Amino acid sequence: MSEVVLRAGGVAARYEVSRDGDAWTVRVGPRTHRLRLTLLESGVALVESDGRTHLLHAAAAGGRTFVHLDGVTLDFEPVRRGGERGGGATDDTGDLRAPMPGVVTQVLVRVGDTVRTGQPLLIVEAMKMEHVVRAGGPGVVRAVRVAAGDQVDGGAVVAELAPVMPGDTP
Amino acid sequence: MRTVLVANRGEIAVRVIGACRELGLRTVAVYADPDRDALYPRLADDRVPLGASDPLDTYLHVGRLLDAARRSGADTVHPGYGFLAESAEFAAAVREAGLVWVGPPADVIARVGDKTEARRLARRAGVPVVAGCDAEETSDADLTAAAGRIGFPLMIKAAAGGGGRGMRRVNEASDLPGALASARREARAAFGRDALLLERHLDEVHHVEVQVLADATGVAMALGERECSVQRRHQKLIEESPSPFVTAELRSQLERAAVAIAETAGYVNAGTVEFLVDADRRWYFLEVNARLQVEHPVTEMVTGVDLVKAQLHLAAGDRLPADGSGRSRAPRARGHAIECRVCAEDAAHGFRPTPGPILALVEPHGPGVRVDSGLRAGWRVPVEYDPMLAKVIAHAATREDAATRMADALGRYVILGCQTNLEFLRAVVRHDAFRDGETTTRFLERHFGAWTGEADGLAAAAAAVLTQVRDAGTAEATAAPGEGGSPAGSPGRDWDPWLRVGPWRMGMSGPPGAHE
Repeated sequence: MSEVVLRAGGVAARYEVSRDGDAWTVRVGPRTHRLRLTLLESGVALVESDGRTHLLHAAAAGGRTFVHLDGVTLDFEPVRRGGERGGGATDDTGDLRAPMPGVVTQVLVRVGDTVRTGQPLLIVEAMKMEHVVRAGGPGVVRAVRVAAGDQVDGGAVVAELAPVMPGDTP
Repeated sequence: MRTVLVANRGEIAVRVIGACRELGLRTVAVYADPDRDALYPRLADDRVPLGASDPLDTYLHVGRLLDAARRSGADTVHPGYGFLAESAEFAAAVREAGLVWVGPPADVIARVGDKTEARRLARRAGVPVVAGCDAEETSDADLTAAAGRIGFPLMIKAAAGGGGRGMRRVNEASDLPGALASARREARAAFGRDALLLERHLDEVHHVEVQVLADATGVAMALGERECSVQRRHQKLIEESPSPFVTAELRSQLERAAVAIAETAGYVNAGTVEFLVDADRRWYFLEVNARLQVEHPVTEMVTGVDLVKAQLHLAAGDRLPADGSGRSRAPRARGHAIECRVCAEDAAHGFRPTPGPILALVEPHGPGVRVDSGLRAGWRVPVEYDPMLAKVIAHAATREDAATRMADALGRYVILGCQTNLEFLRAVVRHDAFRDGETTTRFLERHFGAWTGEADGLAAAAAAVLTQVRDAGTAEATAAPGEGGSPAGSPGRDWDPWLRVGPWRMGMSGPPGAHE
């Protein structure tokens, strides 16, 4: 039995994978799947499970793996044993991230500004749509990492906020 | 008419190129830098680079498009939808350059394309309109005053608009200034013009539109309706024909109103008249779309009319078949067609755009399944343009069968590398409320506001097995390099059995037959 950890959408899940001949058993949480896998060609396999056969497509790029089976598409990163990366979730550190890849069209605050919850900080545009990055809580702008006109990747840190704690003088 | 320049990109460029090919016309594609590796430039007979990426410098740049037409010897321009399709200025410039414009004359576009003007036109044709502001009310101060009269909630719309751009719902007066500023910015970026209008917001309605064809002799005909109520961010997501909500009586009322508006406007070529229909089946004129619609295929499937070929015929001066009374008889609709728009967006997180690379692509086909797609494996969906990638259209004898066929087709559509809304679309067409025809404009927020994704059971289990096999293979290959243990013949860090090797069964020690 081996343990496989896959991270998808910021959430890691543990799978117990064991093999008996050409049959595999996968346990995840309370569920157990039994399946057989036949690779047909690069990136295409047949998955037999529960008396039904499904086509599976897979591709990998930049450390991410994509799998499609029966209308479900997964985008995941295998988590290496012994080398697990740090938390990933940075919501409480005050980092503000670009919601999508795009172009920064406006920066509405400067370093040192005090902002309230929901205040628009900057505007990112992609595919002709505006997305407003807002303060998740009250705070002071610690850093602005981008300027208007900059291209940003989805998830890139665009600004940092020092949260104002209850009792702090704003 | 010999050579058609397609002044657009993506799936609609593919669609127009296909229609031209059937008519024996030569085609010219134009492309901005991010579309160099897209599908459509490869399908055209000739292609001209526009040498930039910003829409304003490429697909919205009249001078560059006309220059491309000149350089490629095109005598006709098809604008597709969006971009300059409803630009009277572009239509006029095309005519002045001595080229055929596939669409209504420039003055008709100007008349109906401006939503404020169109409201006036509809009233003249005796068609009811939604309460809103007048043509003279243009400044923020005018609009703010008009808002007091119309009342909240109301809708801000770009006068030049379409596709939900520059559109905002405003619930109270204090939100109006910010919404006006933001709508103006978006309208300017999308249409090059920031004029806005206000209309009362009708809370829960059906969005129903009628397809119209009109020739230069004044003969106009209606080709039935499309129901387009399943929307997010005021953009259509799923359309169908016929509407599950429209009765035969309502259909004939809407068709008569649409033809009256087309005739009053002196309309020529293909166009669409949009209406809002409330729960009591009271209906109001919404706007005229002086172009081909994204959702035109559902009408094509049920009527058998190729609307793009009809556009080209009408632009060449052909007439619609007319009976003795000068009216044209529309073909009888057959069966039911549904269209889903496949978009690069994250339906579980506010439908935010998700541009990215296309690593693998398998598109569904089969009886009654049509895919209008602009995708190609190896191309990267750019950040600069609309997130719509393709449309899946399912046609069957009944609505129920069409919905089932659609769900199956969506499940077989494989796009890897770029996140799409395929799973979301499938969940929608499988939902009981959709099956029951409860397709109002609030359908998605009511039934899918908290949607986070489908259960990924077997797909995730298979992914875990693949990862395990890959890890084991890597370890093996690293431990015994060059011993022939690797079916791929290339041991090392990038060794990846399930993405690279030929047929073999996982769990066996080698390819089939190796250990008999």
